Amino acid sequence: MKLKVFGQLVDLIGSNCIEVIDVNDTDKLIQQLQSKYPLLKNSKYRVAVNRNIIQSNTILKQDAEIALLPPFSGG
Amino acid sequence: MNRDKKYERYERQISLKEFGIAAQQKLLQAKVLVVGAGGLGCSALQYLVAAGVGTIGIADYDVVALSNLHRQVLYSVDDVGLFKADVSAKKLRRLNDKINIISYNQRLTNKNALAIIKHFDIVIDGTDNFSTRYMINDACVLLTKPLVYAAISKFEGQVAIFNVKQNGNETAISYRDLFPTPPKDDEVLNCADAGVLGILPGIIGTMQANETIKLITGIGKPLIDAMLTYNALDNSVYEFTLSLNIEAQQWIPKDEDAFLRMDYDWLCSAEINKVFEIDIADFDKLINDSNTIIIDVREEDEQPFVDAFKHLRISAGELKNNVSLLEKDNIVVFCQSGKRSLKAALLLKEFFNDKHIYSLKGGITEWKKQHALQTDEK
Repeated sequence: MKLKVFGQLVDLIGSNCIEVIDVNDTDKLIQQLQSKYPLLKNSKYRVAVNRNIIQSNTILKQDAEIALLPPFSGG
Repeated sequence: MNRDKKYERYERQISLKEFGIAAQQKLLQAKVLVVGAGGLGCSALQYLVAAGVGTIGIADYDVVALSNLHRQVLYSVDDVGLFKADVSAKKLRRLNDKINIISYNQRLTNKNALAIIKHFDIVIDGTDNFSTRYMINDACVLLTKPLVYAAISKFEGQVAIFNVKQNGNETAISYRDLFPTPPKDDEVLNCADAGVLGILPGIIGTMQANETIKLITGIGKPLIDAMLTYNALDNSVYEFTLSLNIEAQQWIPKDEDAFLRMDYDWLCSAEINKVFEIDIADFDKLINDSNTIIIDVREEDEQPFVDAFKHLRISAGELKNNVSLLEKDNIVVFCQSGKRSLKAALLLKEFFNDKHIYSLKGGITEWKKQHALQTDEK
């Protein structure tokens, strides 16, 4: 599955798009990402599945497109 | 003025069959408040003024700096040091003298926002900090005013329209449905800290103006309940669909009184932190400065012991009783991690409004770590 990240999360993860495997829901995905990128725990962001911002744990199908959207403040 | 003359300057957009005279009339009757005449504001303002939005308010309390000019294209070298709200209003009146431009040369806060926003139909958020962004969002929710939001970071921008009901929803989506509370600490950098490509707010600000014009005239499909992100490096566009978040409602003040009681600066302490925090490099510059006093605000027995630079040791709790000792113009405080010293800096600022007060970001832990790394590299 493709995971896209935006804003300051690109620096944190090291790329704006990575492959994620072996996760079947968004809670597990976040756990996996946090153990790989511990700084993510201190970051604010929202998770989107297939471009919809999700409000609770969401099942991930094999072709799901996931994205992490952080807040920006610049103007 | 005869009708033909009045519309002459807009004839190229009126001739669009989707737009026509009806859309132009809607624009001329519209009242739009642009908060922040920075990168986004400069760009959005020029097109809104040119397009003939009838009344435009500009709220900004900042002055033009040389480092603004690479992106805030309404200003010139001659304007450095002058108030942005005044300079932008003056320039924009030259672009279109047939509309009403009102400048608010003041910081928009929860104390004055409702009174100002009430006069407008739509608010454009072009600010550069979370405390104002959350305050504007809440004000627009309370007054049920559409909010055309945009924000930028380095090479990326976000655009969205909040607070407009769609699809038969009873409640409109606001910024708090996306991010119910502001980020704490200083995890999100603004343009001053993170840097920004000058052209980016130009692109994103014009998108903001475009969404505003669509919203007013009813043409096209405005970004309601959606957030568009644009990346200037690879031209990628990504659109997120937003939805209501049950958490959001608990954070939005229930009425005008609750709004007035909010402390948005405290809520976004990160913004205040930036005023006081200095990094290791800047701290090291101050170590040998004769006009600077450095204070360790940790408790007496806390490790590590510091002997690498001259400093006083006054615990955070004792600071208040020892302010008379602090005679220098610059006061730098540090602790273990930078948290207590930040509070100490806020306290000192109450005593010494005329002194420069700094807190070492990351504390002595980070300082030792950085210096150990530098020694290793040598």
